[in-house]
Amino acid sequence: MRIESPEITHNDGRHVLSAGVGFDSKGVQMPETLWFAVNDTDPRYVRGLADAFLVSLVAVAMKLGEDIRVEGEVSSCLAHGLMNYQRILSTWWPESFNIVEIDYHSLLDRREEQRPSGVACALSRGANSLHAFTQWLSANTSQKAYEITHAMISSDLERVGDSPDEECPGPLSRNLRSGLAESGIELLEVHTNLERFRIPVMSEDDRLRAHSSALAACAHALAGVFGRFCISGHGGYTYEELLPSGSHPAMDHHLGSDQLQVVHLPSFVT
Amino acid sequence: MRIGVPEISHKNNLHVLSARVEMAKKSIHFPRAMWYAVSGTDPKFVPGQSDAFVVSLVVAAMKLGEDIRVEGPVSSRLAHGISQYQRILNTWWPESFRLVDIDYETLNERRDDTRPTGVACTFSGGLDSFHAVSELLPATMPVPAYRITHALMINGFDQLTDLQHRGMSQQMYRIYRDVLAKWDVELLMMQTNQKQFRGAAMPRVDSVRSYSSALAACAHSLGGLFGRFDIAGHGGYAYFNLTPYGSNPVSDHHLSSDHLQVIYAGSSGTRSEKLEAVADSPEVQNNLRVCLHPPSFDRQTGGVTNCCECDKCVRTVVGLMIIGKLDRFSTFPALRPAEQYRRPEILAAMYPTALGDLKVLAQRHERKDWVQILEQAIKLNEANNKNSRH
Repeated sequence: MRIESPEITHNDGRHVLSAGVGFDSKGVQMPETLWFAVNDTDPRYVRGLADAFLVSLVAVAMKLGEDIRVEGEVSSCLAHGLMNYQRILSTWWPESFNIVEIDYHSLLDRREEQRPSGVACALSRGANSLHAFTQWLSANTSQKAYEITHAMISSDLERVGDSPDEECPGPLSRNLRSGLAESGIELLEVHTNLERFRIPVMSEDDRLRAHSSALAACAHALAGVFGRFCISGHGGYTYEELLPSGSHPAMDHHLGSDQLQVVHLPSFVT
Repeated sequence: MRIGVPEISHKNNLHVLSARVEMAKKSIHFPRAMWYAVSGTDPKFVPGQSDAFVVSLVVAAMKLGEDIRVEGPVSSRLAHGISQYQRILNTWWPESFRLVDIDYETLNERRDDTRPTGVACTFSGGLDSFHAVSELLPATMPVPAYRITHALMINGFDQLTDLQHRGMSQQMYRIYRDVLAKWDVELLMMQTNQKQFRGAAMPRVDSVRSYSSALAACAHSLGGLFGRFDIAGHGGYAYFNLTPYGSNPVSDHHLSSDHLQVIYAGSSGTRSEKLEAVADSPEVQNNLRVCLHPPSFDRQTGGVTNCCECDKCVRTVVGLMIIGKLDRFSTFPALRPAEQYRRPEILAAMYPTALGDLKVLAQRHERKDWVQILEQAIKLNEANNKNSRH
């Protein structure tokens, strides 16, 4: 698999971050470009940074058993984390995920600029994410650096995105946006065609097993906004709750970079 | 518990980072101050930063049920991580560790200076240590920013406690300094009295349940030198390796700050796989120390030795017998006759996971004789456990 250097384009008020993707495997029908898009405000993509694309596609490459060549820049911390992320997927589901080599054109050893101050939480229609979201509201956390500033939704992770130009602010996002704005929280809706890469090669079970990487990829796409990103877990820390799962307290943090801390937020209530 | 603002001082050729510690419970006899000390070149302590002290003392406070007031600045990320670390300890061992409130006088929201470039790993001379170092050398670590630069040996942790300087720690330092120098890794010997705090607050079993915090605290004390710190893990990511334990892939990373990433390392293989990975290294063959007893040394050569009797020695000896490399190791000078290590009733005293791991090793090497012995030992072990439950 080859991931080309990302590009930023603007089209009818939509900001698109995209990168060309090439595969070695024959007979697999994939788009030629992976993209992320957000409406209206400047999403502050980080030019040239390939973190989002690599996090998106590592599970696909593992499923296909294809080594990866990344032509854009990747955070050293993420590169190290993906070694462990791969080990975890391969240990837990060896029949689905093979460990692959990743060849980096450019690793960023240190990022001089400061971590962005945005703190985001992925929101879906599920109770877990809503509970996690409320845990990080300023009224419920004593740590200012972890107070939530943004909510991120990506309904495209539950369906197939067709075009970066597609307008689809559904009822969920319209209602959420106005409700969140009252709390001073900005809603960012990320569109992506990531599922067009995952669905052809990964079963529904495998996509769930690599669920946190899809969410983290959307957060990495907005690396100029988010410094912390919370993925809500389905359970706490008891041994029974530590069973292998697509979002896990031993795994999710490996999807972070020096600039974007990915935090698995456990749930201590049933 | 109140943790004062840390101070840096110099005494007897030692650089010392210390902070006053006051307890609400006067019946517990703690020293007045906790300190970390290193000799030689400037250790680059970070003036005033309290990360090392809160990481070290949070467990004692949880055990005693005392809230904490920290007067020096603490990293925001660490403060968040400690809240999760507390949750984990409290979930796993609620009878030992209670959740406590921590009042931080100052949280560092952002640190403008860049992360230090040092990459360190704890080092005791054991199998996990050697394997962790080998995994972090340039030949095996593909990400340059994660290649090891330092190893940290701690005088005041576990069996290596020689704060009266009777010679044990210096001898360990000399031996392993030279071994690690061959790999361009600098060995730092740190002294600390944190064991006196942990020992006063909790029994050994609870110290073991929280030992990664003691190691991480030492790394945080050198916060101006280390940007990454690897804790040599005992296992991989298989579900059984997530069993609650003092160092764990679920818990260790929560001890990181924005500037010091704490990494559960060496988790790519089982103990027997680690043994296979390093068994051909002459440095390991001449210096491996796995023994559960305090360090001992060969009277003639001065090299480290193992007792050959304790559980970890037996497990390692059997592993080396299975792969046919025991004769290359010079650190097991008092071996029993070989047939004694092949007796299922002796091996049955090991942990079931250890027996299972050795059986898999024997299968990998097609040692049918050992597979048979270990299967018998596993059956005996199960029967013994069943009897003890009744």
